[in-house]
Amino acid sequence: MALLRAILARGVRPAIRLPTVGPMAVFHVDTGGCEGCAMEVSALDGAAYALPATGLRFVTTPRLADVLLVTGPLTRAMAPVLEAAWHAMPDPRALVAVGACAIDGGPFGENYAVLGGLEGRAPLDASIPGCPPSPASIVAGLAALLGASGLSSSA
Amino acid sequence: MIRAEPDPAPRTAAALIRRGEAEAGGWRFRLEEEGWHDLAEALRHDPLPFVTLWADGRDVHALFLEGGERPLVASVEPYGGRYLGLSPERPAAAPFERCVQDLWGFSAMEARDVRPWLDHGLWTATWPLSARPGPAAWPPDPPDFRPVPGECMILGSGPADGGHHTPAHLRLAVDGGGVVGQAEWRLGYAHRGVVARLVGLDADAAVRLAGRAAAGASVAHQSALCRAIEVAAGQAADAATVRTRVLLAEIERAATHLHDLSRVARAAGGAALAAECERLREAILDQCGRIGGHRLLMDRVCPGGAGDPAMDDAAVSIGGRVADLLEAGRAALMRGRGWPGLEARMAGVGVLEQSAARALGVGGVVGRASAREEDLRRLVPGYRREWLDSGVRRGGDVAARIDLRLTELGGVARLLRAAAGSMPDAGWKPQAVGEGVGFAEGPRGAVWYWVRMVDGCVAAAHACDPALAQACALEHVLAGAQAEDVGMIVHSFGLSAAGADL
Ligand code: SF4
Repeated sequence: MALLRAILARGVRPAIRLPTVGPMAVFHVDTGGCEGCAMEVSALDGAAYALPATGLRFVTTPRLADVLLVTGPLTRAMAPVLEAAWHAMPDPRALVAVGACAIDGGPFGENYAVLGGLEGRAPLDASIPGCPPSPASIVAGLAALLGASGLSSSA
Repeated sequence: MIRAEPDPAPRTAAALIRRGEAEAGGWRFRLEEEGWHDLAEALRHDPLPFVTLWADGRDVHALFLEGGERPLVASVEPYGGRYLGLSPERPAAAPFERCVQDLWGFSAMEARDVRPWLDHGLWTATWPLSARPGPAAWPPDPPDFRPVPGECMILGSGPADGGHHTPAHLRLAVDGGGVVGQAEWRLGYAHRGVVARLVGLDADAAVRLAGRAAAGASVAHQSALCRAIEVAAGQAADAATVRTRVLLAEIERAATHLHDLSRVARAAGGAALAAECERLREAILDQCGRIGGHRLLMDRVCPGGAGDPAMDDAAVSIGGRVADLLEAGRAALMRGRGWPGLEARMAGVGVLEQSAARALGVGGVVGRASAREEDLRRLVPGYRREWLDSGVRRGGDVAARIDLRLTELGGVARLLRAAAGSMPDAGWKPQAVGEGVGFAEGPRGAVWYWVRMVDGCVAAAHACDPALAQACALEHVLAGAQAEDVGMIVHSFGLSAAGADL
């Protein structure tokens, strides 16, 4: 598990304080899921949800991201990729697991190709359960990161 | 053991397969090494359509669709870990041969390509499914890409590029004029070992897992595995269950088509069309979420004949509402499609010729947009041929794939109404042979399963998603494309790495 331990410094991080100016930037990595969670995150990023109004936006590079949003079980092939994304992010940063797979492996626990979920391996700032969780619950989970203040309530 | 009637001089590949020893209900035959060689030889001139190839620890199996309608499997026991590859005659077999090599360690002789496909050297073992897995080599070998024509710049994208899709890496060699000289995928990032996980599960658990093989085709995977399990057990679904599966499959088709359409439209600059698709899809998923909370219709199909009457009623009423939504949304979709400049952006771009689609085994929307009459729904119980009138397109380009999806959305609405008002015949009960093949026409193409059941549990299995063939076809289509069109072309295929890697 050396690989995973390297992803994130172990131990307790101080409660994150994400920037209060501007929308919260989210970088999404799917680490090998069934595409279910990825499609729900994608729906959130589409026209059906007025995302900018909620104070969130998706970015296409970790260098600009405040939040690393992970879907899918962490496959052994994706572990170095996730690690690189995390290290490319500026501080302060948050790690969020979306869906059963990303949390504890869900239907895809540890085997020859898969390490499993992030829970217990990396300090999660939020986990949003479901297989897959609906876009509304993903927004709600992310909103909790900022506290209700910075966000409008509508999804 | 039953021996098929010996044929004095079999000429067709199908007859050569039948000369083998029948092992499962007259559709799977064991060939000796020599018979397998004869089969490979015959495939050179016989057009017998190849579907998929897999291994089960002892044998390598190749599935064909005889006459376009009867599944026929040839099995051979690799001798010393080797068997004769079929990819020289059937290029579509190439990625399957590479998967079998990575997972089981059986190597295909004379194969077109013997490089690893799924295994990046990061697994805990090499040949993890074989009886004697090898140790993992450390450090892993660097990726073995095809040599690139000189004077080209390499552009890589993925596996983490912020696009909301399963991880895959695409490597492009682009020349000075911005034209792609060569495109190559590196897949395997999303390999979760679905087949290994199926083994040992009972029928219900196996179908639940299959629903998470590729979420865009969850119903297709669930239904295909259900049919395989039912064939193995000699069961047949009752009429109401058959109808429910049809309704759910069509609802899923609408939702996934809308998802894929919105992706292409965004990449092509058709924001209005994308937005319409996203809103309509959300309205449909919202309806789906009302049956038990699963917006993506997971865990909605159960194996073994009699379904759940409450589920059947819910499927009928939701099918009706989805048809209403599709009909009401039609005009806005067509307005979005007519957006100025969209046609010019997509027409003639990313052309997959019919011959390439056939050689590479590409069906589904992509195959039909390249003039292939490939629609397994004509064989799936519960469908009537007169319902399937969406037809094919000749263009094979991005525009054809978009237009075909839009046409099929109309087809889904009609089909949902027709199916809700009909009562199909209950399927016919096959003889229980402990093994079964099942299939479904998913939104992106044909999904196939093979299972061997022992004491109600899966003893061996194979899953085949259309994404694998699409990935190969994309490498072919992208060569020669403009680098800035690549995203749009990839999205127009609706490729899901989750389905390709399993
Ligand atoms: S949590 Fe469920 S829906 Fe999400 S990736 Fe895993 S299996 Fe798929």
